[in-house]
Amino acid sequence: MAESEMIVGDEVDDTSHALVVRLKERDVAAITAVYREHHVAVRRFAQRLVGDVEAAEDLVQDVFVALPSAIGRFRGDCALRTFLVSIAVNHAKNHVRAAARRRAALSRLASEPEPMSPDPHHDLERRALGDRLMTALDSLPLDQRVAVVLSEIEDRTSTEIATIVGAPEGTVRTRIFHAKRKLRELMTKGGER
Amino acid sequence: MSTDRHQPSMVDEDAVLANAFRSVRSEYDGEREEADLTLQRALFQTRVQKKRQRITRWALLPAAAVLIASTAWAGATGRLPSVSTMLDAIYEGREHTPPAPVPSSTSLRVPTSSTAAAFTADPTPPAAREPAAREPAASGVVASSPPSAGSAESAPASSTPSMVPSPKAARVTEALSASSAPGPTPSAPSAAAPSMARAAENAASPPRAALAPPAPSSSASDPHAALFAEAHRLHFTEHDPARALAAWDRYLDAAPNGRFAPEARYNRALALVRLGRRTEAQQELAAFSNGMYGEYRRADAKALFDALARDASSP
Repeated sequence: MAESEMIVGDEVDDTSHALVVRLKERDVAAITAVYREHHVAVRRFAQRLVGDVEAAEDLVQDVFVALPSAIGRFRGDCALRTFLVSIAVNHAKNHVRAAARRRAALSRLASEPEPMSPDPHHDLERRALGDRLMTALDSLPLDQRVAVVLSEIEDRTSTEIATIVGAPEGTVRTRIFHAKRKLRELMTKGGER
Repeated sequence: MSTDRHQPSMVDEDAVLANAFRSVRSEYDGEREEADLTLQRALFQTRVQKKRQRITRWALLPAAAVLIASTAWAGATGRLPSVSTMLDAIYEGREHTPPAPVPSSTSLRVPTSSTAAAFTADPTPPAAREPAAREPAASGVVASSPPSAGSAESAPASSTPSMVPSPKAARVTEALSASSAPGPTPSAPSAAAPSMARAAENAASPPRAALAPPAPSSSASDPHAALFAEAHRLHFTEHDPARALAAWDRYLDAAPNGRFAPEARYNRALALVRLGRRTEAQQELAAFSNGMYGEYRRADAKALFDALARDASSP
């Protein structure tokens, strides 16, 4: 890791120019280094956005396959991790659809596996709430979904989200507002049922 | 009141939503046992992409550059037409098409004299496509020694051009039938000759484009094209059948197997008709109507031949 100091914080980028060049050249060692450094964060976002671990894994793979081609757009005005999340956002569409279809099929069959936990009742409630949220997220437009996941689950600021999605901060805030309003309605309806 | 009632419900909803967000946050922490497997898959795909990129960069791009450069060089040095002719020959050789005097398909569509087509056609056909040696009878006409039909038919089969009959044939037939229709039918054979000549002239009158001199490229690649052009000019521009006949003979003497030889022979027959030398003209036309050149000018020649025969037999 001597040639690249990677990420120190989310606001400042310390990615060395040499690493960017190596990534552009599809250097396997460079890709591996970046993966080791950021895969957890990227996967976490992918799982939270998609709501399905398998689909999220495919999305993570897509992100690191697309990285050498996308790194040309990296200007160093954000952290590499943020840039990776933005790649994930750009590749998320199909994976979100696939996960939503899978979720819908599982809800019809009611064959979701039960979690193994010392507190099964609590886990079941928590899981049920999470599933309701994911089902509600499936009915949102993708841009609103991305905004609310980044804001409410990933705890990112509007500025960061604006950088990731490539939209003005005001637009991001509007998306979050509309998304939360719709989610409230959907969660209430879902709870009443 | 309603606001008071609404307020707690909003708070409840927000709490539910917040709990749901928290639940998702805690459920998905980004850890996965298969993380290394995902890395391996990503690296495999990256290697494949890199390989493709390398092939594109080191093989396809240089090959494309070489192709472009060589094409530009061939175009600049004038080698491109010969390459295209060579490819043409290879292509036609594969198809085993019979040799044709005028290979260009455009010539097949020209309804009037194929002279025009001959000028516009590819000037450097393969030698195999040219008709066989000119029958001695043709030159014998000038030497007032009429050729026999047998000599015309004795030409090798390979010289038979495969041409689609020109639509002009129908018009020739009409013109000839008009000339032989009841009316001022000439009583003497000598008087019939001019009407035939007119018919022949109508049949062979070239379009405006045909009157244009041969393109420099065709002259450059066919040394006898100038002779043909001269004969064509005398025939169709100056309307001087005697000098045209001599010019056609000069061309045929110089290039008996030339690219335009069949057309020159046909035009020579027309000149003979205009000069009233019916017997010689018929002998020349017989070669065409007997199929010595395949379908090339066959219908035109037959119509003209029949018209000459009818005029000869009419009182």
